[in-house]
Amino acid sequence: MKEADPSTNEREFLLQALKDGARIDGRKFYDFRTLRLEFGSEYGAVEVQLGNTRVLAKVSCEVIRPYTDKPTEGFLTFNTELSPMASAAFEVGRQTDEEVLVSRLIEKAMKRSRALDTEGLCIVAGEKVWSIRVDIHFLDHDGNLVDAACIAAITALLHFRRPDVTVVGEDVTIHTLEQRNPVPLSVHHIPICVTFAFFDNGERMIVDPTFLEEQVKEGDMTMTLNVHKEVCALSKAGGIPMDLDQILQCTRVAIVKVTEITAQIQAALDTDAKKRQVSRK
Amino acid sequence: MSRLDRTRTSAHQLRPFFSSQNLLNRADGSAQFDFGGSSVLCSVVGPAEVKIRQEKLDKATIEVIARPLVGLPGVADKARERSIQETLEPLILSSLHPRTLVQIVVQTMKDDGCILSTAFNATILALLDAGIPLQSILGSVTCMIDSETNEILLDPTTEELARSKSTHVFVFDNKTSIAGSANKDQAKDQDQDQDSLEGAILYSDSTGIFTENEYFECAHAGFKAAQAVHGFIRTAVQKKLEKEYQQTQA
Amino acid sequence: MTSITTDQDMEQTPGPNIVLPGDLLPPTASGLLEDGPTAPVIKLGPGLHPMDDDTITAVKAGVLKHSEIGNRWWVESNQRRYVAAAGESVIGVVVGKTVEHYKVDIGTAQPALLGVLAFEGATKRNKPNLNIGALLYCRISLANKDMEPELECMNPTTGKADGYGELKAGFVSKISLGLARRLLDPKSLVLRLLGQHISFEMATGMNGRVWIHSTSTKHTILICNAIKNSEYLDTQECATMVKNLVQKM
Repeated sequence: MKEADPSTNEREFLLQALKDGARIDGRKFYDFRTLRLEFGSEYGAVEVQLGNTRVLAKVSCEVIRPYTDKPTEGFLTFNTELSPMASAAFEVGRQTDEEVLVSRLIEKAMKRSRALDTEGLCIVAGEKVWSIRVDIHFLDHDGNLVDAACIAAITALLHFRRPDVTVVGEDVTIHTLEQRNPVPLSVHHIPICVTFAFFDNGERMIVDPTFLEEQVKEGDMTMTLNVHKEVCALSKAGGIPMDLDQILQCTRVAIVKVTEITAQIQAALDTDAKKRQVSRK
Repeated sequence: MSRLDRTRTSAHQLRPFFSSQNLLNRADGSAQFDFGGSSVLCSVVGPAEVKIRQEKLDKATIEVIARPLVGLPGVADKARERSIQETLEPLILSSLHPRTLVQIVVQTMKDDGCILSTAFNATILALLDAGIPLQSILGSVTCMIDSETNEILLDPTTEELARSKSTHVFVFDNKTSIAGSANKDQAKDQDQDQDSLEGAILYSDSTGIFTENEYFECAHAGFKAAQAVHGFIRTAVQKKLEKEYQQTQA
Repeated sequence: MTSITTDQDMEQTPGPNIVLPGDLLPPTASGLLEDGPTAPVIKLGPGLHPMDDDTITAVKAGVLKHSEIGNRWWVESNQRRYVAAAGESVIGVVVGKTVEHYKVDIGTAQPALLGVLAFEGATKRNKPNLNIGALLYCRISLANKDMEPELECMNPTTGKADGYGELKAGFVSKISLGLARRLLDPKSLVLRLLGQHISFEMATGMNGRVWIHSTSTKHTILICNAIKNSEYLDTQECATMVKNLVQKM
């Protein structure tokens, strides 16, 4: 099933509204949609809602043998297959260009920015390391899958606890959750993606585009930053050419958004931790 | 006897249900169904455009895609797809929409046992939400026989399933009369019919070692529990309709 | 979105007669049991279907409705996917063009066909030229489960346009089919409330699309959002919602 193109009326109305300084859903240009984070009963399961866009991230782990050339490094893998649940245009077993791009962006933002300390996942050098797997499920597609997925992935990693292990000589004991408190992963920093969409030859730019806005846009750019004002990744795959000044303007907008989102993630994690403490008592 | 999960007190008690309909914006119908710590989200698209190679000239093509919580879809997911598809095919009045596709995606959200039953119940709620014409609704329950006590446990958790001698998944349909004073007698007749379990089982899948008697006991216990699921589905639909009719009633 | 848990009361509250697929039409009420030439004629509408065992069963979840005139029975239900029915007015987008037809997406499984001459006063030499992406308000002239639906942009009895045709400017919102039906009610609450503050043009398609046009983009956006928000609100909440939106402007 192909995605239906919007009518000329919708296209023109959206552009006219932007000229008048308004967006279809009533947001301002640099507003994110309402972000909601919901944790599952297990560690490492998070459902993220960004307006109508919905993503579920689930972290799991297992013990495996490391590569011989990197005996102390654990593994971090992402599974970002787009499910037809999010949109009937996504087919099982056949990736569209858009899907590949989304998957690559998430890998770049999360894995290559070295957000997770993979050395810390080593149990016995050359023998046993943890392999951390993040499954990202796209449930509903109303634009900006990348930002929603990144928020889901990093929140799930922060929320996740792996079983504790003790190593005595050659013997490795993995303790169940009942025997010992599980341990959190060591996350170096929290990369957050902020996606911009450009209209009118780049004159107008908005943050967190909806599905309709993505269909009408002339170009886009995704910036990955952390709260320490470090740029982790920047991706502008095609679209209209842009001024250097505009990119700097984007970073200034993005850093504000990143600070807000990081604070919200931390607050959600804290609330959840308190809830768990109460229920344990 | 208390259950392993400590929240339940009897062997035939089900975990609390939860459901939510119409929660996805892109799909034509969607629903989430929970049995306690197990949760499945289901989306339905259709009747929609079908690819030529899937097209059937006299009826709709029913496609089911099951997706696991962790990892890539494997054999177990394929088996679940087939079970759901083959149970639904006779239930959906597919001849009303020839040359179209009804696509059902079943996503596990939380797994604490009985995923197939949870998926069945989520699917029927999503189909109702999408307005796909159906012959009847269904309700599904899983039960197991404990290897030590030989007791039948309904709606077991993963922990309990580890001690099972056999597990049984049942799906029952719901052919009752519209509740109304004029036909109470008939409704009663039908209830009796259903007590004898005639023609009410849509799907039954058992694994493990069990006797014929044990199977029938499980089926009976499952049938009683499925009535609770049916009742819950009716309440879910009612609550949704009440919300829609708020303005007209006022 | 509506959610329920088992903790909520499971008691059936008296209210509209809610049916689920598999529920039978009460035989005595509808006169189904009677046989012979005196048996009343029953007309079945959407949501009800005669089964092989001579019973009439609901096939959709909704409210069972009955009209004494003509002994008609139907199930009023809500869904998002449109299935074409002859005589209904819909809003579509032109997605393709051939010598004889326009292909129009109206939200059904297959695109609908609109004859290039199915407009008021159209002749071979003088006919409207629509581009791909154009928005149309049209009427379903033929609907059949085995064929693509067919459309026309005029009233078949008078040959006049009667408001059908290309919709210029404005914006389209996608809503549920149930909400579209409610908007067509002249007493529709949200439209009455909005009309007190803003003047606007609108066209409602039974296929769950509503076209809004007003003098300013901000008004149009407000109206679209108010209509979408109104679906699951009661009278009081709806009034407050509209008031808040208008005040914010």
